[in-house]
Amino acid sequence: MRGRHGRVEAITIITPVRGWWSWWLRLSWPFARGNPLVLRPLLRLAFIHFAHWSLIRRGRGRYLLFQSNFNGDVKQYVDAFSLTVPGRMRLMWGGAHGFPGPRPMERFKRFIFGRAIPADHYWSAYPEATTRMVTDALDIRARYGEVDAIEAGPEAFAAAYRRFIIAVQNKL
Amino acid sequence: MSTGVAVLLSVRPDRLTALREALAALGEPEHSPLARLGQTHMARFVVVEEAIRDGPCLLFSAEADAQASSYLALVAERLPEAEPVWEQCRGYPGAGDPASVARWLAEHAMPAGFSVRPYPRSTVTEVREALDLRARLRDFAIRAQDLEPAALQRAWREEFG
Repeated sequence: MRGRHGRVEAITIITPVRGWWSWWLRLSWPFARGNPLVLRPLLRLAFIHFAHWSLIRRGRGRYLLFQSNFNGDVKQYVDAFSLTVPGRMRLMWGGAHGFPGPRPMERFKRFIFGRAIPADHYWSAYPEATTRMVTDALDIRARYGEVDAIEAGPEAFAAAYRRFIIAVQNKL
Repeated sequence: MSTGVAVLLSVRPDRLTALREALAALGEPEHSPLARLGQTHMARFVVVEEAIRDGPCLLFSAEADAQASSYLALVAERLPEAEPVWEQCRGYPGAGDPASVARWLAEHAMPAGFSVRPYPRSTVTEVREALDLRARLRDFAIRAQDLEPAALQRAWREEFG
């Protein structure tokens, strides 16, 4: 299937935006970048590997490019944006031509899918992994040294091992 | 820190069929030549036919463990399979000089304005190693659950050295 490699899927959306909206985006993005208040709800969605919004300028046209690499069903993905971060969707797409608002969900989905462009070629370096698997694996890797570095005798090692396994069991 | 790299290239309308054929020739993801670019987390080629009023375009984008200019130099140097793709795009300088191709790609690069990246500081290698470690630990935890401490420590050393 185009735009999918294993459990990872690509979505690409290009929407024309009003000139003044492109100014809003360019001015607001530096403040949004790295801002936990903006990012936290989006990161909590937990199925995005990488997502980017960019501005395209072509002649007199301005376009918002959205690209995401994610896991799961694309309809549920768009539903999640509508349900959990509607304010952020409005702040991103509010000035896009034809944007109906993040709710009701079905109208928002028609807007998104009406502008989604399938990838002609797509590849992932870890196609078998969901975002949760990756973040869990990185957390485990960070703590792995707690056990691996133990030079003590078997009892002390076993105690450290048990503590480690209990700490990471939900990530395995 | 990984970087979102995106390049948008104009395509002549009479070259769209050739472009799609060149992209189809890259094959299924399991055999993609993009796998040779070790710094690539994920990458895509997208033919944009109607969304942009000025005419058809090709979008090439990737999440990479490199700054955009370095990554595009890598693409120019190590992805000869992309030459039939780039040939359909306006302004392509030709295959003879990867540095020229890298410059041409960089001239058409767009920075990401806003990004969501749950693990921005992890390289492809680190992610793969972490996933491998997770799988091995899961298997080990199952095997080792009833081992006495000395046997547990021996088994750990055998598995994780």
